[in-house]
Amino acid sequence: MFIAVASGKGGTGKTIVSTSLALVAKNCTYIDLDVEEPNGYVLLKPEIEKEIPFNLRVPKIDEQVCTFCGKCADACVYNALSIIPHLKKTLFYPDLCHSCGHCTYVCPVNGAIEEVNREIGKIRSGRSGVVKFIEGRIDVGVISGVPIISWIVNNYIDSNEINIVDSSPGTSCPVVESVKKSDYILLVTEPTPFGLSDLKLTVEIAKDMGKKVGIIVNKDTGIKIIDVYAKEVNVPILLKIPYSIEIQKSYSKGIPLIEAMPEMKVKFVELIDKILCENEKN
Amino acid sequence: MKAFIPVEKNEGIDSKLDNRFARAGYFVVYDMESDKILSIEENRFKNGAHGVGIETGNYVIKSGCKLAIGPRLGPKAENILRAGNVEFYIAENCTVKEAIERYRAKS
Ligand code: SF4
Ligand code: SF4
Repeated sequence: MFIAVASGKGGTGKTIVSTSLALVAKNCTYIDLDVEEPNGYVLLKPEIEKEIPFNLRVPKIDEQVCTFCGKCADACVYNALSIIPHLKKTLFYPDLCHSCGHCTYVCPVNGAIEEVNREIGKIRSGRSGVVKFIEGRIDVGVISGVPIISWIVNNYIDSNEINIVDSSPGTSCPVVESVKKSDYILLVTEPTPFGLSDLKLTVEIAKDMGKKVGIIVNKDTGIKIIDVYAKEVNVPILLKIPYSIEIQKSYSKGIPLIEAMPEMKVKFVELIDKILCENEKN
Repeated sequence: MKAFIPVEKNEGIDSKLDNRFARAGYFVVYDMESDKILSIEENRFKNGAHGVGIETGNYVIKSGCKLAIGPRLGPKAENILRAGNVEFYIAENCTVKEAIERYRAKS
């Protein structure tokens, strides 16, 4: 089973929720796909066994051999190349390149263009007790995390096991990529007008994708703003985590929520049981 | 020298400059020596999804123009024009004719 923990924006408590779930689910894999700023490791403190670079294949032009015919740039539908014949110059925009290989394929000149590796991030894996830990991270300056997210989703998720994925925040391509194969999406939000408007966007995306969704309210102050909306769209609120200075403090010290507040542990056990049970029914 | 000028509609020398460079309606190529419009072509890239600025920049280079007159460019297109030694002159809210005059009048 693949449970995705997501939120419309960062800082809603996605990490607290996903790490707590992983710790109560025990024999599971925790996968941090918040690739711009993965911080699940702060709470899970895994022993890292492996760190591998994540590379994309991109073109490299040898300006000594290239005839500046421009065929490669014409073939690139993503406009990632510019050829300036009169000055014998070539320009490449790595962030636009989708590693499709067309440019290399169409080049008529032997040895003018070749594919090379461009490292855009790292994948770390290890263990935190019985929890398997996987983390994707993109290097500073890399614009899109989508390739690394989709690689991890396609290669590291064993659907026979429980996988808890800490998704990228937001409502754009990275989050869609990290939840699209999920069986259940847990949306973490705060009971504020901002929290609500972000939640609405993510609920819509999740529903469009035909996913099962549940809401977790973090920093609950008793305000019912999320409850009203949840009822309207018929999405269950599965858990409320109270607003508490203690929780913030333990988070900043790297102590997982369920250790800092044992009463929350019970709730998370109930939550994971409920989700797993529902999944089995299908 | 040829100049590359993005315009809204094809109205010859009185065409109004478009305030979007890469997503302009038409592209004018103007010959500064003979003082004539060499071509006015519809912008084929304007509805593209990726890298329209680069596509347009590549097109300017291919057109052989050494001067571009129009609104401010995106950083990538600007980068291409700079790499291609294409001079860039900012002009807005005017016709092709006025833009050429302004360019010539600049000190
Ligand atoms: S297609 Fe090959 S030879 Fe032509 S410009 Fe590109 S790299 Fe150079
Ligand atoms: S690999 Fe594909 S996307 Fe990248 S530069 Fe070549 S043609 Fe463009």
